[in-house]
Amino acid sequence: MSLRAYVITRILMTIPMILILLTLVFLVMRVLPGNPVIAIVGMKASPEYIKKLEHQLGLDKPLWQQYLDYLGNLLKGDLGRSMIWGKRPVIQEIMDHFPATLELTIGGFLVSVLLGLATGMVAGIRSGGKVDASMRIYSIVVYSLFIPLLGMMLQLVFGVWLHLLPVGGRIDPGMEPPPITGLYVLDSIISLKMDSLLNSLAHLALPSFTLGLVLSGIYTRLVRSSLIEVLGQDFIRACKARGLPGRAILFKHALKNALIPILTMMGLQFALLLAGAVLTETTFSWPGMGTFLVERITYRDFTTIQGSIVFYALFVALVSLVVDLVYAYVDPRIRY
Amino acid sequence: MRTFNFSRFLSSVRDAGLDGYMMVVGLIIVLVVLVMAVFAEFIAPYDPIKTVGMPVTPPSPEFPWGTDTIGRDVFSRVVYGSRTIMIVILMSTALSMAVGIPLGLISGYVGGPLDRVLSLVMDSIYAFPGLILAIAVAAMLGPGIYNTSISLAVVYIPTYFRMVRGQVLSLREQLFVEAARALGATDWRILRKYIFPNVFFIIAVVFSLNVADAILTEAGLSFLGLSVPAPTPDWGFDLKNGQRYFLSGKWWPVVFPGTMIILLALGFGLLGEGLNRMLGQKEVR
Amino acid sequence: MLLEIDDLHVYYFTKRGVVRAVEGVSFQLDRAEILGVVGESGSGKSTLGLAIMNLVPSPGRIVKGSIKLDGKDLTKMSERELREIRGKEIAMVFQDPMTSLDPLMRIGDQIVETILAHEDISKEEAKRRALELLEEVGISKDRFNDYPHQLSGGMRQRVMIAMAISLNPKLIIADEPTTALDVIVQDQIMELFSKLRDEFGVAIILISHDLALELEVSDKIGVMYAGWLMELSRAEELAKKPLNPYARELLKAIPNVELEEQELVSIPGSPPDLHDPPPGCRFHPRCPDAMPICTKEEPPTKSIDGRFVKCWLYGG
Repeated sequence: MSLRAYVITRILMTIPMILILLTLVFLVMRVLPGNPVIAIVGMKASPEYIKKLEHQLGLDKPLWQQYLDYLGNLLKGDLGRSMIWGKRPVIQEIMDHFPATLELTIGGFLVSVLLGLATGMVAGIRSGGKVDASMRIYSIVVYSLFIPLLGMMLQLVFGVWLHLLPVGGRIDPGMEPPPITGLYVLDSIISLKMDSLLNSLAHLALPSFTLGLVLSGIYTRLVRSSLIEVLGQDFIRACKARGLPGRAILFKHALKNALIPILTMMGLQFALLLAGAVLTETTFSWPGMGTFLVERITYRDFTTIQGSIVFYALFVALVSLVVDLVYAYVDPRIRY
Repeated sequence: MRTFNFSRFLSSVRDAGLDGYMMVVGLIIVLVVLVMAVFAEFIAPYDPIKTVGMPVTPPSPEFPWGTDTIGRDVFSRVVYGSRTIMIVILMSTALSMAVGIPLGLISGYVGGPLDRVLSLVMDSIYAFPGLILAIAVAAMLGPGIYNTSISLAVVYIPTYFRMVRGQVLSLREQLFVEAARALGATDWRILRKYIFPNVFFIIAVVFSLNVADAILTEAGLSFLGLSVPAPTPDWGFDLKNGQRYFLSGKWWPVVFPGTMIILLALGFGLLGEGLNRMLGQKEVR
Repeated sequence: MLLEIDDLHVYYFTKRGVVRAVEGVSFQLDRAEILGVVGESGSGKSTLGLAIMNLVPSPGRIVKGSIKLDGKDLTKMSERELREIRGKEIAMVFQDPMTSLDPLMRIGDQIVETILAHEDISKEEAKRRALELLEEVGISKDRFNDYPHQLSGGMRQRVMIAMAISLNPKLIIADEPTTALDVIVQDQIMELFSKLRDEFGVAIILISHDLALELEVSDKIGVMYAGWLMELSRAEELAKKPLNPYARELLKAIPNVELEEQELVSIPGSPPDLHDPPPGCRFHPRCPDAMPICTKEEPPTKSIDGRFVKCWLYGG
């Protein structure tokens, strides 16, 4: 089928997955034991106040009605309002914090892919030898590095001892670029503010490296096994028989083919990136969704917590959809 | 079908070279921590929840790994912390397996719409970021050892489900199952006698790799303050407490529990990887 | 003489032992000649083909012997020198065209890539040549932008041949080029080979297990068994009167459509494990004419009327 038909089909297929995720979130948030209202106001509040809050949150309606309201609101883009302080719409609070997480996630993604490609290629080309074995150990060790500890060590070395990079935060106060996308690096480039760019990059360096290093091990293995499989295939031998130079064979043919299975995995690895980002943010005081979510949990801000989880679910579904579409674009066998 | 012969196993460990070593090293690490957890009372010099010294004192002969932010002995807390994490991990894994494996067996064997729906549900959960799912459940359930186990269990049910289902699907069509059915064996008997033993080995591999991941997730939950309540000795929690002192040079409240987390995760990871290669299976992840 | 192979030995050094895949093979090939190399699987014929371009995969290696192309010994060349020869002076066509083409690249671009790897011309010029080549092999020009999986097996093989002839090679090595294709396409490909020999003077080594096919199109035929070249004769001579017993049995095994009531003949037994070949002549366990000496000593290669045969039947 053509690319367009595939895109439409794939988008349609995402809908059941989203529905299931949303239902699961609902189940987790409403069905699990523990009255959220009591959790917020404590046992000492008067029963009338509790009833009032319950009514406000819609918790006194029957479960199936709550479910329909929940879905209905989501279709309108309404994630409810925060239960604390200024009662700001949850969606707005999320939008305030999400760009920071996105930036960190992209940074971590780039680092992990680059490191993974480098180590995986080395392991794949020299497969069977000592180098290959050390790369295998690398990938296991690296994934076991607990992000907070790794982050703190890097902070100590690069921030305190060497004074090279800042220890926390996203940017020094006053250095923010004009808010166009919310991604400081991108905004700095767009508005051509060099000092903002350098400052935000400096802050982004350690957290991205921490997140990226830990996740690179997964790519190491993928790249390695994919590369080995491709290199053993006949068309590589046919390329050699045609007298093509080694480097061209590796980069133009082998790597491109090897990347295909890797692309499909990238969607799943993205979930790992988001999860890792939560720990990275709390370690580096990075003002993103992770720190935001954890903070709201301590405040028992039920609606915000629910809204954030829903947001994560939708975002993951979106990314997996995009990855599948990119995959279809790159591999012509899918489309024609 | 495979039967297990120990001496043959030992010699294949030696032949496997690096993979054998990885497995052995991993196994040793895991056993050491297990011993620590079981015999904590005999290994730890102090009560882990009692203040026994001045806060944040460096390692000394009296406190080999120093004291933490409230003056408790770090070494004792780490030793007892191994018990905490082992209990949580084992309980949550048992729960994941108790739900995931039977569902996977049934879903794979029966097939049809049940399989399709279950797979879709499991795939959706699997695609969701693990730690964040655990955070959501933990936030609703509240702190506590049992609650944390449940939070973790939810995250890993799909892993066992998928793995078992995959194995069942491939085994279902193989000849010896057809032969058994031709001989009149009931479905239940087929499942029990033929499919399950072959699935067992891959369960062992996935178990180790999963536990490695679960350790890091649990430590993540504790680090965020969402797992067991204070003053239970817990590595992730201690790491969080020590964080504010770390950059001013007081490294011991952070480094010791943190290294244990890494070490234990590494131990299970090596064990799983080594087993994986040795059993000659393709990579499972 | 275009190609001279002298006493070639190619071994695979595996964990289980040494596999003597090609042992003591010598022959010559001139321009505009088609040499058919025939044998069962494991006979070493594919290894022989790969060895000529030094493409034997590890753990295989050329251990002894020389391969001279226009007088230059290929076994003594550096990888860089070999790369210049590959594709340009010697080209190879492989068995399965689906796996021999990069599935992610358009076929036209792959031909262009081959040309540009050896010739310093512009991309447009290379593209023009590629289009001509497609026509030459009988593929419509508007297929230039197709991907390999969009073409049929026969067309893909023709693309491979187009790539092979793109730089006007002196020699083409075709390893089972039609095995994965149906008979009609097979004929077309063979016609193409004949055309290449007659019109362009290309020498072709046609490797196959199908003796019938080779008899149709080859000038000379070499019969291989367990790494040895058992007989090398002109095709007509082999068909009329094969010298080596193995060659004779192979000929007998070809089913003849015209004869009624014919039993399917096959050679009993199977080829030896090359880790541990039988002593003496490697074919003796299956040979109907085996003599005591065949079990003990390796037969010498004798020359009879310009034919070569490795067999004790023709004296010591």
